[in-house]
Amino acid sequence: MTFAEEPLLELEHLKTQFFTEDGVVKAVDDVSFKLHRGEVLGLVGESGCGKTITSLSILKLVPTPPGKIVGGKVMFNGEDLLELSEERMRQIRGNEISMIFQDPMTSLNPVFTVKNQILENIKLHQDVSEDEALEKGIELMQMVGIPEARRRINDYPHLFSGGMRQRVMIAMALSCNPQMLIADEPTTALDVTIQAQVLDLIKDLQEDLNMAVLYITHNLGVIAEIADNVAVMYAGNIVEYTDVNTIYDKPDHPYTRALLSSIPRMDKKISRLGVIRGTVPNLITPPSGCRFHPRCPYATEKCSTQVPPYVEIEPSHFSFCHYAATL
Amino acid sequence: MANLTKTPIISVKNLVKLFPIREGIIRQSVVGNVHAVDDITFDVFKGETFGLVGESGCGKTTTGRMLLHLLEPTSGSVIINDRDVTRMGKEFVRTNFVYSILMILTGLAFLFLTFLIPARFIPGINGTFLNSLVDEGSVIISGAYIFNDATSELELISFASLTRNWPNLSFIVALLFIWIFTFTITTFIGTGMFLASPLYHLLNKRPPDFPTTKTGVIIAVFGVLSEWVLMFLVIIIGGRPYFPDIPTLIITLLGSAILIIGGVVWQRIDKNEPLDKKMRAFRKYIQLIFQDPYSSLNPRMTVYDIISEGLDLYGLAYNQKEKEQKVLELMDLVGLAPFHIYRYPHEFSGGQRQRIGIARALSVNPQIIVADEPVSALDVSIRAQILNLLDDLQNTLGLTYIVVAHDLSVIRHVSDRVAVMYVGKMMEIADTDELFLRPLHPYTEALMSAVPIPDPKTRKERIILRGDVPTPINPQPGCRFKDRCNYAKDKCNQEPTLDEVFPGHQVACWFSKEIYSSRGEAS
Repeated sequence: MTFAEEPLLELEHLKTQFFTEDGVVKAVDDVSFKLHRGEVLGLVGESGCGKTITSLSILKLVPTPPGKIVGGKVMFNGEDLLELSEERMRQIRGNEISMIFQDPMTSLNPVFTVKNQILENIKLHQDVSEDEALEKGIELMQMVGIPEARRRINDYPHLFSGGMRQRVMIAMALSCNPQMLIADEPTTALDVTIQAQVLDLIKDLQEDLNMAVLYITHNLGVIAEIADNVAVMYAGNIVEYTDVNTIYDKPDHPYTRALLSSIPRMDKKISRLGVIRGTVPNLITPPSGCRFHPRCPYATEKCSTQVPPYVEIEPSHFSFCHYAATL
Repeated sequence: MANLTKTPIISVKNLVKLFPIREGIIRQSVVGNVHAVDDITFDVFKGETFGLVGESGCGKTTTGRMLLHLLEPTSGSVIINDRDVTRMGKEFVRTNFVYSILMILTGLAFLFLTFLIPARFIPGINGTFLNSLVDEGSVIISGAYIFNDATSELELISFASLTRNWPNLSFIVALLFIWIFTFTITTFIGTGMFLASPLYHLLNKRPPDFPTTKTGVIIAVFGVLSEWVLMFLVIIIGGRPYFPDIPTLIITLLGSAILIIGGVVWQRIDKNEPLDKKMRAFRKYIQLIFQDPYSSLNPRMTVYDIISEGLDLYGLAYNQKEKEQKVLELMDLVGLAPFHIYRYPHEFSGGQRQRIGIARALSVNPQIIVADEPVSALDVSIRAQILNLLDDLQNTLGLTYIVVAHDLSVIRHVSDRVAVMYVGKMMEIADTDELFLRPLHPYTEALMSAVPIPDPKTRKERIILRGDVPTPINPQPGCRFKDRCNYAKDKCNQEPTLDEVFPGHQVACWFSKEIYSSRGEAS
């Protein structure tokens, strides 16, 4: 998919670090990508690779201290979010950029009704009366497919099932017609049949509202279903970026390839799974050069000393490897 | 995975687990049951991997736990290696009850024989005679008196005189306490156990499962000695006692009541230990791998301690050297380096911890391993390592696996046969290839279509199920899936049976054949 217009969001060399007692954790290191209106970008990686910290950095929600954004730019609609005041950021969060979280059980406040929580966002960002806000809230709940919305809006979160809570979260996130939605593992805590419902919902809403979605997950199946473009993260770097078909057909980076060969498939029988030897590195003292080199079957001397370049193998297919397109 | 011989190693028949829901503050009454597992039947064959799949709350973990006897089934049976292990716990409770009754009876008989008969009915030895002996003030004679007459009487009399001579309440209370304690333990439990265990074994002709004669003798000897010491003390301090009749009799009866209560309480406390012993022998055959490698390892134990614990419990290593040797072999088997042996769990990554858990399960040479979501807490790249390891171990050790998982991709990869569960019911059982090629139950079909495939070209029309998984609390009669099913008809209000539609392919749906033939026409 190609997008002619200017990107809605552009990350340029974003660096986020955590200053802990044990040392500096380089959680996000030199991350750049673009996100257009109407595009779903899948950010995929294992736990601890920095995908959630990337999304929190965009909204400047990194817990400070110990975390700090130490470099780079987050250009949103032409302005650098990192230079905005906290007051301006508050206007952006939940209004222009919304976020839904992994665990719908803990992201809703159990002592307030759903009405209270949905209306809070609407009243904060829009100049509407109580009644108008309520109507808008009910409309949103109907939009995300909650039956009997008018009655259920007065319920407390514990009266909703997991899938319904995630729907409530989505309704809250969409309450101010955001231009961009960050979805951080929104279906990981849900059962497969419910996951299918929620994925469908996000996809439909994204198309209807022409939103940009940054979809974070570790599930390569979900990415294949929902994303237009994919960025694969490993140990704080984006190692490969391309469109969704290319990543599954012609993955270039050794990590992407190994990851794809290591997942069991429901649609076909695999006699033996591919294995990535070793474990994810500690980001306080990441490996020198390419961070994947200790686990890479193709690694050479050069990989352990020099940081690889971002090679554009084909138009808009980037691989972060010394031997891109040659392996 | 290969060489399946069709001998069932586990047979589960009509297994039911209900968790009662109680309500009420003072008197709790059962208002409903969570039908966690509701009448499921399946066989697991030797050497195969049996996958148990379903969404959260479908009862797959409860089933796994019942196989290991970590949960007591409500009804139905689990037969492992041709041995019915379902009532293992219940059987023990029953024999224990018989034993308790025997113990109480023999204890009472002993009380009667030793305390009441000699003093009252043997000619010449009566209260007056004994009183006169005591009046002589001879300590030795008093000793004889204790031996022959109700010890309680003498003690109480002595207490009475103590209160006159020494009106210190706390001292008397303390003595009274010692009296009840020694009297309870010794006369009742000690002798009761001493006499009841051989009697019980004689009646049942079976080896002892409970604390036996040895413990009884120790308690009895200790008790008699301590009572004698107490007795002499009381007599010496208290001076000459006198002898009232009716009140002492009442007190003796009260004492007996205390004994009975004490005995029962003691039995209650004691009953868990032998149960564990029996379970332990059984669990040598069947072991569990847990979902969460972080909470299933004791953070205060080293890898060596964790793996060797099973070897110690079953006496599988004769000395320290052999134990270490075996631990190292196990570590090598699961892919841990020898220098990891004295490290603690926090020093390992999730995948390595799961390896430690696997080594621990393998340490007792089990035949069957129940793996409850073995990879769902692990990262994608680590999952492959553990799944490959499980596969290798099965090939080398000939293990039988029961894998409980919610992830259909994992189930497809590891299993030879798959059972699909939904809200406590078995929906479909078939060979893996057969099931994924030809799912016959509407739920299996929907579940499979809901799984995202990591290939954008196979983006397909999904069957989106309406609504949520229904609650397993007091479910409605009929098919559990009927409210979400696209094929549901009136007949679904009757409960479908799990029938064999094709060889080895069982489905619990009234319309499975029609669904199959209609699909055949469509394709």
